[in-house]
Amino acid sequence: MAVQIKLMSSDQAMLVVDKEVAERSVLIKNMLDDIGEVDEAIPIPNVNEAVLKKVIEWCEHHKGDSPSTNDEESDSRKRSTDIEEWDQKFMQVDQEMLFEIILAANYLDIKPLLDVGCKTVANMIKGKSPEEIRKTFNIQNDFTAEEEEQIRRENEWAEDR
Amino acid sequence: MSASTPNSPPRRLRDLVHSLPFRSRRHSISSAAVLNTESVVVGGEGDGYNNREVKGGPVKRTVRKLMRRASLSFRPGEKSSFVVTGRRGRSRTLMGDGESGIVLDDKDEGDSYYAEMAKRVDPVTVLPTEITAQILSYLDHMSLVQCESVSRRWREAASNRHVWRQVFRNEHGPWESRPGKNWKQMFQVNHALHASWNRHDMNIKYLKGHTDAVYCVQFDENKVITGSRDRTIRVWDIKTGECQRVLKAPDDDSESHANEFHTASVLCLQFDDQILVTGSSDHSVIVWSLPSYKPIGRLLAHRAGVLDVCFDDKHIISCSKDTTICIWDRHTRKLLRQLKGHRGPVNAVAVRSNQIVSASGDALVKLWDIETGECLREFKGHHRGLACVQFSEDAKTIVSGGNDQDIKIWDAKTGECLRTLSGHKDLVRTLHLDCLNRRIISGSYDATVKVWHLDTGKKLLDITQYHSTWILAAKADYKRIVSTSQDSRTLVLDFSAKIKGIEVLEQ
Repeated sequence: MAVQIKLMSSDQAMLVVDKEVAERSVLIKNMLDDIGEVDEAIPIPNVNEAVLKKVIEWCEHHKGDSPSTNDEESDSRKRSTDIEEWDQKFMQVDQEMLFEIILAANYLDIKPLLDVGCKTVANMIKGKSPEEIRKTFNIQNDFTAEEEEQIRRENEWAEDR
Repeated sequence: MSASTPNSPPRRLRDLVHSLPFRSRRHSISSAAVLNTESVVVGGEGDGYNNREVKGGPVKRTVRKLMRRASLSFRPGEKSSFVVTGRRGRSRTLMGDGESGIVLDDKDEGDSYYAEMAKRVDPVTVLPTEITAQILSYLDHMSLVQCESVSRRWREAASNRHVWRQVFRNEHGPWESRPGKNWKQMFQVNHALHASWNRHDMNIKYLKGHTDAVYCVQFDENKVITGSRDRTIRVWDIKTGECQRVLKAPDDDSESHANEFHTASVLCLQFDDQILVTGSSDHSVIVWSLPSYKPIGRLLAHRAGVLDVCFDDKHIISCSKDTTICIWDRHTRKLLRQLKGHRGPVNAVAVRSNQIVSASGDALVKLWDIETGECLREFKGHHRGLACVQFSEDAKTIVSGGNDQDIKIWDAKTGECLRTLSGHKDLVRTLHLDCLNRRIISGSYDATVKVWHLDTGKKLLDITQYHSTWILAAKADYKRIVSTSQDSRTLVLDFSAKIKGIEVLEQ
């Protein structure tokens, strides 16, 4: 039987998960490596139950993934925003939840989940006008008309092909 | 361990968790769901709502507007305070404000609108800078530029130099650059440069001095080196076009120096920071030291003219009309092995990561293992003799051309022909692969130089009017094409002449 561990969310919910699944989180993995076997629940003080459940769902689905092969990625490679179908569906949540998942992935150090989250947000921005971006995220335009004009002039080059 | 009290494990655990470095300090979105009271004065005194009709659009729209304002995500001056408003419970309280007389039904479509709006959150405000930077670095430059116009915070986030650096890489590949460069400016200059290529907007300069056909050329940011049928090698200043140096046997024919230079046509050359390697009809290869241009070695083994040379960190490779390929040790200049297999003159060679690719008059492209000398693969498809071959930097793609007037792009791993580029009306004499800028440059006996897109195969440029006869060699970088011809001239086409700040792209 798979070894299980307990996680305690910020709102004091106890979640039991396979060790293998939990170890998709580098933070938890390093912690377990340091302290060995534990019966105590590992406190995850920055992530609430709803978000932690989502994160675990992702880890479950991706537990078999080979450890990320693209360490060279960050610098030299091109970044694509392609997201596999399951992850796309997984990320169909409201914005609050999406950003909470990103923050949790960042805190728990689950890089592939952080990447998928960031790509999802990037895809929400891609190809949109400033006004469409403002609408998407409910942002107020705090530029003066002069500033807007200045930015428009500065970036005119990008339109020219 | 045995001395620990029953309470100690959890404490250690908790300590461990809390001692971990937080990558993000601003992390909880929902816990900060506080209304911005300033903007939520619905139905306050003097707002005039009491006097209006309660039901219907205008009021609802006003509330909506207020709600939108209420859910603004930050207060000026309080950098990290983030406010999510309009969550269901709160909005209802707001809407049920009896004093104002505004009563909106819970099931009202407006409610779902508020709920919907409330869930919209500005990522730039709630996510730490490094995550925002990661998000933006997935964008294309057009989208990133749009982000700069969203709000002040977005402008700051989108102007991040690491973001522009990654976006530059996404679109233009891993550009080498001096540290501290402004990547947005680089992008802008490169963008203008691409436009200039598309518009054929170029400056034209001829390098004149050779007295016979110019067979080979290579250039960098400062110089052009050419080799000619007139038996000389010339070094030119690429900016002024001035000939700075001529490598040739002294005119007085003194025996002592004669054997240091080529005694027949200079057919091929390659240089880097340390050496220049030249091959000649005199059957020899000469290695010159740079920047002194002193000859430091002569490689002798071929029994006929040396038609092409190339090298890497360890090897020098030469190929010949004698149908063989020689592999030499770059440092000791000893012959390591000789590859036999082609049934015609070997006109071109290229080397990448322990593999050599060769093209021959026998119409075959062959791939060889540099260490074992084994022929790994043959690429069949051309039906006439081949003149030129190139190997991509990642060693995945091979490009070849020759007498059947077609250029073929091959998958080096499978041997499959991926694409055939047709357009030249005579023998394709020279090819250059610019992987970084995804261009193939071809030069032909039809007197034209053509530029093709490496990935799409689309013809990007057709340079027809600057040489009157056979093109013998052509190379390109991000801003120039340099071609040589039988007419003894070398042509430098510079697409950057009108671009301000082009020096930011210098590598």
